Amino acid sequence: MSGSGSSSQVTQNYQAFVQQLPELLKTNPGQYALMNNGQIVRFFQSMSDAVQEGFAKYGAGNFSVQQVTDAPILQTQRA
Amino acid sequence: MGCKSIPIVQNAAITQFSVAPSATLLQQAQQMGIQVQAPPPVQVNALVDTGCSLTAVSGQAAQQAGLLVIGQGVVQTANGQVVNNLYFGDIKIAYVQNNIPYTATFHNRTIAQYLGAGPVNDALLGMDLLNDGVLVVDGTQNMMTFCW
Repeated sequence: MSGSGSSSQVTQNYQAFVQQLPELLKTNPGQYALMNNGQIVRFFQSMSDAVQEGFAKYGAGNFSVQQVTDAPILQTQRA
Repeated sequence: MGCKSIPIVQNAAITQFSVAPSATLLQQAQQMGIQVQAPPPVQVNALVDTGCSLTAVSGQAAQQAGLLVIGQGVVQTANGQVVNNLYFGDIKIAYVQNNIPYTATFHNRTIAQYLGAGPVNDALLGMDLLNDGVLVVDGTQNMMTFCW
């Protein structure tokens, strides 16, 4: 499957997402934003649904999905 | 129900799982008339880590497996915060029950990029997967058992 490696599409979408995040946290907390060309196309309740829609609509590497959250992913290593 | 026993060695439990492109997306691609040559699943050595919120594999493993980069996220490590890739794919755990080998597939998972990959482990088995089952730690036997 193509689309591995950090594509410019993913980076562009993330930068646009971060700018909108404070407002999105009020309007769509926890939801998954399907993004294309720096624009939010639609919100979904699950990552899987958003990815499948993005894949069908834009193809691998031409979209990204960002969850509306300000919680970081933890990699703090505690066995 | 499947169960995987994981020995605890020097206070760390290391297990193996494999990552592969999402079978759902591969099927979707096929239905769209797109020919996709998926590489074979890539096996990783994962530290069972309750301090990890999202299962993570090294960027190298993700790339070898052909995982789709799905977005980016802020990762909190012991050394601070960084923005890194998030992938989408399937996680496969091989286990043996009554002497019969099985493989359990956890479909359509978000997988983080692991920033601390080293010679011992190149992945973390995080709380997102552990929350799908029961993790029992038997300190007297130096053994963890993860059942789902």
